Amino acid sequence: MKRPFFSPWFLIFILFGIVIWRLVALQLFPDARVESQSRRQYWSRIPVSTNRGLIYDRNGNALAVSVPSSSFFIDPAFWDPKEAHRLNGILPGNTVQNISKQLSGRFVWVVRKVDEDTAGKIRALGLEGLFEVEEKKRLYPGGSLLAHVLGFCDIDDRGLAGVELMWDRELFSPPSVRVLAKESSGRMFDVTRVDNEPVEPAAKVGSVTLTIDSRIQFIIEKRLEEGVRAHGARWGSVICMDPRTGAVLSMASWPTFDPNVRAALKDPANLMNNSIGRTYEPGSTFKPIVLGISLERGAVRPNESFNCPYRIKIADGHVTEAGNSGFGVLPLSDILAKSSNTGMAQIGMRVRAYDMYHSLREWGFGKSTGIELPGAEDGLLSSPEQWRGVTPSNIAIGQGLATTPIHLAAAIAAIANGGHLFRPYIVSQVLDSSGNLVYNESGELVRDVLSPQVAAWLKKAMIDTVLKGTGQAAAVPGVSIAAKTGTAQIAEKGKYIKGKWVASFTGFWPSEDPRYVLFVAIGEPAKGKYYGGEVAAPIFRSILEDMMQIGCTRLVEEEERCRGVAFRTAG
Amino acid sequence: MEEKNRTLGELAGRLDRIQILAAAALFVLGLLSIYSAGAGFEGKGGSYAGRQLLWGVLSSAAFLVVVRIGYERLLQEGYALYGLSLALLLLSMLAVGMTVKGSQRWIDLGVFRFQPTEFAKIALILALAKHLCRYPPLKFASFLGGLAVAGLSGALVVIQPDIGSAMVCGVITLAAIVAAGAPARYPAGLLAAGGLLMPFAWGFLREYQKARIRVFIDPWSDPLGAGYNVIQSRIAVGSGGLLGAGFMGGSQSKLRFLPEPHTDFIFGVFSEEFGFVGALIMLILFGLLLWRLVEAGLRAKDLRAKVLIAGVSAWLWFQVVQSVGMSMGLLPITGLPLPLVSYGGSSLLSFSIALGLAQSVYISTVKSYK
Repeated sequence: MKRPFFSPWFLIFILFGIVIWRLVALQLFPDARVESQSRRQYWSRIPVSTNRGLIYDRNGNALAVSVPSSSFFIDPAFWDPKEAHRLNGILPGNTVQNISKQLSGRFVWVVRKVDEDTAGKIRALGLEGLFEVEEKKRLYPGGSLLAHVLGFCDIDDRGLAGVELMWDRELFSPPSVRVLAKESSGRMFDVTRVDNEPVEPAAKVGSVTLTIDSRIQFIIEKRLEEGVRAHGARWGSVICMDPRTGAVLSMASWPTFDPNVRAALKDPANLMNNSIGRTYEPGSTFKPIVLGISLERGAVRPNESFNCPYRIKIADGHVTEAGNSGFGVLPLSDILAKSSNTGMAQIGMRVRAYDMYHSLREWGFGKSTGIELPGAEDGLLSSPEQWRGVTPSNIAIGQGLATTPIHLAAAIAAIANGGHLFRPYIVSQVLDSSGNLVYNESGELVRDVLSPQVAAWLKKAMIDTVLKGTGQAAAVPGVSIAAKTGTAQIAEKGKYIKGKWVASFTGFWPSEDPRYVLFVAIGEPAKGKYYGGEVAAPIFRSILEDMMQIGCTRLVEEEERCRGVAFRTAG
Repeated sequence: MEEKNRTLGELAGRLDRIQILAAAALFVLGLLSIYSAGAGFEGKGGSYAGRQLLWGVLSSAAFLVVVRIGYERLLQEGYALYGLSLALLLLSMLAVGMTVKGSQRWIDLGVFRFQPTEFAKIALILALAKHLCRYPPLKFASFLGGLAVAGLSGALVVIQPDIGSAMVCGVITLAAIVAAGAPARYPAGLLAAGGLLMPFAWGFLREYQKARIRVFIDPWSDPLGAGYNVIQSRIAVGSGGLLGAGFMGGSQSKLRFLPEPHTDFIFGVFSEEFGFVGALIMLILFGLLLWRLVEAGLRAKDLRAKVLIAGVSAWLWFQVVQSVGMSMGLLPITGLPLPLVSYGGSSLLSFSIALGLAQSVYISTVKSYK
C-alpha cells in the first residue's frame, strides 16, 4: 500500500512536545518553592508543646515537670459530623456540640492534653477524621503545693503566673513543629517529621531552682489550712525565711488552688498570693520595727519607762489599748512584750515624722522588696507631709500604713540576724535552655538597719513576749523563740470596721542564733477569736513543732540536715 | 460492500492491535490512579475503581458492537443520531438535568448519571462526516452550511454552559472541515474571526470562568480561591520527581489538597505517584493511540472515513492536551476529563465508541488475503 510517509496530520504531535517539555521542567527540575510548599501543607504544621523547663526546690525535688499527653484534632475534610455523638460522655458536651456541625478548614483542635484514660477511650472509637498528636503537658506533682509561687501555664505552655510567668523566657521550650502525613496504605495517620529535618535530640530545657524547702512548705500549708478553717478566716499567709540570707524557705497562701485542674484557675481570689500581694495594716507586729528605729535614733533609751494608760488623746484622735484596761508604768521592753498601744504611741511621737518616714523606707516599707515573683505589692506608706495629728502615733502601732507579709518577714529577719536587712529571694538559680547560668542568688544585703546592740535588745524583748507577754501560746519547750503578736483592724473606705481583723504572729528561732523566721497572718477570722496571740500564735507553734519533727531544731548539725545538704543544680 | 458481511472472528483478525493495546493500557493506568485518588475519599478508592471497571466492561462491549456494525452504517444514520443527541441535550437542560458546580450537564438515570454532551460529540462527528461529504465545503455557502450543522450542538453546549465541550466541538468541526478539503482560507478565516471575537466573548463569560482565566495568568492572585486548583495540581505534578512517590504514595490527592483528583486532575494524581517516567509513558501511550488513528485516516480511501477520523483524533488530541496542560498550569482550567483515564462512564463510553469507529475504518482498509 502506497501512502505518504509524512502527513501534516502528524503536526499535532508538536503540542505533545510542548507538554513533555513542560513536564521535564516541572518534574525533573522542580521549583524549590513547589517542593517546600508541598511539604508545608501536608496538614498545616502543628506546633505542639515540648518539654518545658523544670522547677526544683532547694533539695532538687521537681515541683513542675512536663509529661506526655494526648491531644486530638479534626481534619474537617475527613470528618463526618454525624459521628460526633459517639464522643458523648467522653468529652464535655459543648466540645461535642462544636464538632457536630460542618467544620471548615483543614485543622480544628478538639481537645488538648487529655489523660491517657480519656485518650484511650477516644482512640478506641476509631473515628474517621479525628487524629491524635502527642504533646507535653505541664504537671505539678505536688498538686496545690506551692501553687501560688509556681503559678501555672496556658494550654500552649506559656507561663501565666508565678515563677512560670516570671521565668517564662528561660522555662519556655519552643513548640516542636509536627508535620502530619498519611501513611500511604490504610487509614492510619501518623505523626512524622519532615524527612530532611533531622529528628532533634531531646531538646535541652531550662530550669529554675527555688529556695523553697518542700517539706517545710508541706507543713506550713497544712497548718495554715487547718488554722484558717478553724477560725473561719477569709485569707491567710505563712512565710518561712532564713534570716541569714533572706532566702524564702516556704511561702503559703490561702485560699489556694490546684494548678493541674484548669477549672480551678477561674477564681481570681484563689490565685492571689497573699504572702506578697495582700496589703494590710500590720498592727502590733510592726511595733518592734518602730521601737528599733526610735532606739537607733536615740528618741528613747533602753532603760526608760512609760506610763501606759488605757487611752490617751493625741492631737485630733485617741489611741486605746487593745485590752480593757491600761498597764500603768511599763519598762520599755514590757511595752513590746505586752504590746502596749499607748506606750508605743508616745514613743512614735518622739521621732520626727521625716526621720521616721526615712527610716521606714530604709527598712523597705512602701516599696518593692525585690522578690522574684510577679504580682508583688509595694505596700502603702504616705509621705510625711501627710502625717498630721495622730498619724505618727498610729504608725507606731502599725496602723495608718499598709504592708505585705513578705515586707514584714524581711524586716523581722533583720532583727533576728543582728540588724542586716536582706532582700527576700525565692529563686536561687536559673539556667536557660543552653545551660547558661542566667541568675544566681545566695543572699543580697540591702543595708544594715540596726546596730547589733539594738537588735539584741529587741530580740530579748521579743523573747520576753513569748515567755511572759502576748505570745505565750507559741511557746515550745526545748527551743527559745523570739516573737511578736499582731492584731490589726481592717480599714475600709477610711474607717475601721468593727469585727474585721488580721491576726498575725511573727518570730524567729533559735533565738541564740536564729535560723528561721516564721510569719503567720490570718485574715478576717470569723469565729470569735481574733487576737494574734489566740489565732496566729497556735498556728506558729504547730508549724514549729512539725518542723522540729523533721529536724529543724536549734542544733546546727541537725539544722543542716533539715535543709538538705545535697543542693542539686538542675541541668 | 463485502466488509459488512464479515463475521466477528474475521473482524478480530484485522483489528489494529496497537490501538487496542494503547487504549487498554491507558484504561488500566486510569484505574490505578482512580483507585489511588479515591483512597483519599474515606477509603472509597475501591468503589470508584470498581464502577470505572464496570464502565470499562460496558465500553468494551460498545466498542465491539460499533466495530461489528461498522462505521458506514452508523454514518448513514448520522443525521438521526445527531438529532437524537440534540434532543438529549435539550432534555438535560430543561427537565432532568442535574446541576454540578454551576452547570447542567447530567441526566440522572438513577443508577448512573449520564452526560449527553459526550454523545453529542460523537453524533457531531458522524453528522459532519456525512454532511461535509455530501456538501463539500469548497464553496463559501457549503462551508457555512457545515458550520451551521456544527453550530446547533455548539450553541446548546455553550448555553449549558460547558465552555470546555464547546471548544471540543469547535476543534472537531475545524478538523473535519479541513479534512473535507476546504480551502485553507476558510478555516483560517474562522480562526481569525474567533480571535477577533475573543474580547467580546469575555463579557459573556460567567464569573467563575473569568476567574479561571485570571488565575491561569497568575494563580497566586487568589491562591485559596480560584487559583487553588492550579497551584495544587502544579504542586502534585511537581512533587512527583523522576520516579514519583509510588502507587498510593501521593499525598496531594490522599490528603485532599488536590480537588477532583479522580476526574479533572487525574493526571496530577498519576504523575505525583509515578513521576516523570510514568507521565512520559502515559503521554507516549496517547501518542501511540493518536498515531494509529491518523494512520487509519491516511489509509482510508473513503473521504467520509477521513473526515470521521479527523474529528475523532482532533477530539482525543484536544482533550489530552487540555487536561494534561491544565494540570501543569500550561492552559486554563476546564472541566474536561483525560480520555480513557479519568473517572467517568460517559466519557469512557463515548471514547470507546469513537475508537470503535476508528477501528472500523482501519478494518475497512485492511486487504483480505484469502
